[in-house]
Amino acid sequence: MLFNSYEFIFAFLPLTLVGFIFISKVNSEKAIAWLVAASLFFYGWWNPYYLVLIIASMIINYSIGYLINKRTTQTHQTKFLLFLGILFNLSLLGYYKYANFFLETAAYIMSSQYHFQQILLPLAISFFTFQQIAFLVDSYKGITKEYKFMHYALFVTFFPQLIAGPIVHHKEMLPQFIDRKNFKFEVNNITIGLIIFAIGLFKKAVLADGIAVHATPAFSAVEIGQQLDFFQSWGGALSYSLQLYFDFSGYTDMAIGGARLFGIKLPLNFHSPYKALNIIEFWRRWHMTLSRFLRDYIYIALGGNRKGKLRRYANLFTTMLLGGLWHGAGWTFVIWGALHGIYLIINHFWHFILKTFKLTFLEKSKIWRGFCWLLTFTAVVVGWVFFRASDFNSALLLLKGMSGYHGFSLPNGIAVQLGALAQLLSSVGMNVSLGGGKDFAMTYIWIIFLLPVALLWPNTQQIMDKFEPSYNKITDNPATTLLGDSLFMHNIKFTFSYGWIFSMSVLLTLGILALSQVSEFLYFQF
Amino acid sequence: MTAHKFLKFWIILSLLILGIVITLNYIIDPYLLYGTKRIEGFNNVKPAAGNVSYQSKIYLAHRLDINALVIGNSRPEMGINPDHAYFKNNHYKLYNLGQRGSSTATQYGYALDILRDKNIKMVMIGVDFIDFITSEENLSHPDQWPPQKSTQDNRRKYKWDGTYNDNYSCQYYKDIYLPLISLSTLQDSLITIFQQNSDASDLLNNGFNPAGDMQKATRTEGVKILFNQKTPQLIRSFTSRKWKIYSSHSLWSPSFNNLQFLLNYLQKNRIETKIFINPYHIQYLEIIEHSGLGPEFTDWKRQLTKMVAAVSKKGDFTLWNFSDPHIYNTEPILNTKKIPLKWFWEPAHYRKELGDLMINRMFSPSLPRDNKNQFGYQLTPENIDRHLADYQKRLKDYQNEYPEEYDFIKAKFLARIKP
Repeated sequence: MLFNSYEFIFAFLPLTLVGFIFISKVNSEKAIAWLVAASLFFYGWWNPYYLVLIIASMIINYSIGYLINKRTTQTHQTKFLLFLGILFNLSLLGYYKYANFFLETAAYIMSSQYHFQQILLPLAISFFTFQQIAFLVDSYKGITKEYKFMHYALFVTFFPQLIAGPIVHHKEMLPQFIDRKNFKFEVNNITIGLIIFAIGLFKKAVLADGIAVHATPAFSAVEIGQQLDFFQSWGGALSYSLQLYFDFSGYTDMAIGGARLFGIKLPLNFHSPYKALNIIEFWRRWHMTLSRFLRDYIYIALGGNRKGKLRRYANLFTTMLLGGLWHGAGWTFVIWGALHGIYLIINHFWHFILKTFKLTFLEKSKIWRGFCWLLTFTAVVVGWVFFRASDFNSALLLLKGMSGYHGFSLPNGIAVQLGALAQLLSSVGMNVSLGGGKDFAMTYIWIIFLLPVALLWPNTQQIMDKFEPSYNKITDNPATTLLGDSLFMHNIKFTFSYGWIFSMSVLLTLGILALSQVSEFLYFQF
Repeated sequence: MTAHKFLKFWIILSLLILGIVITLNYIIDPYLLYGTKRIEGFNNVKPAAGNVSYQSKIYLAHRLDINALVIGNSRPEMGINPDHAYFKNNHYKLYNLGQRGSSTATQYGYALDILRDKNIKMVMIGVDFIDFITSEENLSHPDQWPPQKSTQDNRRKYKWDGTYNDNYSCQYYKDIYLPLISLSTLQDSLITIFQQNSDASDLLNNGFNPAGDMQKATRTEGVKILFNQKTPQLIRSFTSRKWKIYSSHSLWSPSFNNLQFLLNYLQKNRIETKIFINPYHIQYLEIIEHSGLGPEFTDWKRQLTKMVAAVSKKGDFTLWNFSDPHIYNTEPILNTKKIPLKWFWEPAHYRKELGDLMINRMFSPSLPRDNKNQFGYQLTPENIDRHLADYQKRLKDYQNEYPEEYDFIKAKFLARIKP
């Protein structure tokens, strides 16, 4: 069931909420059981076959966690149990997500014509596997304990975060599950939850889906070998960058808002990443709970920065490579991960240079900061090209177009409107391509409208700041944030006022109107 | 203000705005789904209707009081005007069911739906070469029946065998009522209000597309640009695969199957039927030749002639050919400016003016039916060989008479094979 669907918004969510409110008045444990049942129904909506897998995975992980928790100290036995648990989770993920990829790659290397049967990828497997690995490691370290299966089941399956995160820690959720205060009916929670959900719905259904139609044609064109010129290529790449931004940001808001209806606060997962002035900062803001997982359970486990600079860079690269592979079993994702690994290494090395040669004064210069943003954003967009392209060659073809290799042209329909200016542009090498230019114009209108929203506006958490919308709070670091003190940042703050009633009504109505064009969230495929 | 009060007012205002949007979408009716009155300067022109014509045209036909039908793709949709004087004078209430970009299964499936529901007395079927070419893999079962299911099938009241389609009601309510609460409908409603001019795309209540947008595109960009734009698309379409019109062992194809089924139905119900091969600009014909599809084009005409002759017992089914080179479709394009050609918008679509001549030709009893100098003639098993030979000669004549125009199309093919 999609968050942006009639059945979720008008049936599942209200029924689950009403049931939860009534049952929690009687017994909070039963209310938790109700939420688990609802979450499993939500998960099984796509394919009931998946339910067997997720339930089996929960039982096994819970049992291993239980056995680890029973021992008070770390012993060989607990270590073995942890190893067993991680092996089980990775095997499950490996089989369902990567088996085909590795076998096909092996067959390609050996020039074999063998065709493998496609294994159906169970929804959200990457998310619930990582979440459970984190639970086992935390249990092993004594950070968390769990003795009630129902609590554990809710920690894994809680529907607002089940499909595409945030990837939550058990220690973040359990105290909220057992806090009786959260089971009391609170109009405040319902209102705040609905506001955040409505903002997310608007971002996803109106903005992300609105610009998506301008991203897809460029990627489809290069897939069949078509050469796009500079403006068409950048139009496609920027449209996709903004589609992904609003899609993921919208989903995260809907998850946080949906959880809040039940009195639960989820951790932040998305914090205006395109405002980042360097790539390290970008990863502190994009898919934050995944970054946290990668840092805590891969990067640090590999040795982090404790074993010298070179080893640190190698660890960074490996972590990002695995992060890329986590997103999808395909070489384009591996390249995307590798690219970000290289970006991070360069960024860390640059910080080292800045400190060594005392160049930190540069960070105060507006021009320098503008350059940093442009470089970071361009690097991210180039990465997204690999992330979105169906194969390596089409990604390269689009990047070639973005570099100007395939020339610069304006559609004839626009060129004829420009009159003398068109002649001037022609004299500096601008060509005229066939076509009316409506799509071209609409692509850039969307970009011009959405990019400032991503760069200048406060995000949902900042807008709702007064109402503690999420589990954790993040404050912008002015040194690494683009225009963190813009006028919008100070003036757009939610209050219970008539102005906000009007704004939210428009947003909610537009979001609901956009439900008729149902589309999946991009992060559902991971 | 308390959270409770905020929530209450928020829900009320949202419902109010939703109500306003629904009313607006209903009144403006951008897709011709509700039959709301067209008001000059407000919602008379429907620029967005063509985008969802799969959805709207069949329901519209079911709603109207009609007794004659035009069937085909976008060519007759833009060319055959139901308001032609002949139809009015002869009490034909004609509806143009032409569907842009549709397969023969959709064209004929939709037509059968209307034929089964209305008392239709006369049918005009515009047949098109591109709708009949198919790739080898689709010819493994040339006589497969019923045709492969498509999403459009749910929009038909009746299945191919005439039994009621159980999916119809659900699809109908979805198609009619969901657009009322849709953002894209709201967007199109606003576009409708702001594009009330003759330059906008439109769809009339009789199903005809007056091609206002083509008029505008020609005026702003010029004829040659439109030809330049369409020609590579056509070349791509005709050369993207190895196209055939039928399976070599059975001389049959799914499209012929669909047409045969429709013709049988029309014959059984004694409905006067005129089948016509759409006119194409000579550039289009040259693309067919240069793509190596000339022999297929010839075989297609032969097969149509045979089929129509077989169902026509008393001359009540006639096949008309308007595709031969003639003064009407050989207008030069190289030196054109921003004034539309007299008879064509671009190589693939003829204008209403040419459609009017076709109607005059097909329905005028006084003109000789088999005169090769006339624009359009009746194809029969007796005269087909002569006409096919004449077609080749006319192509040659054109190439000699307009060498520069001919070179233009040749150059497009050469440009294609350059590395």
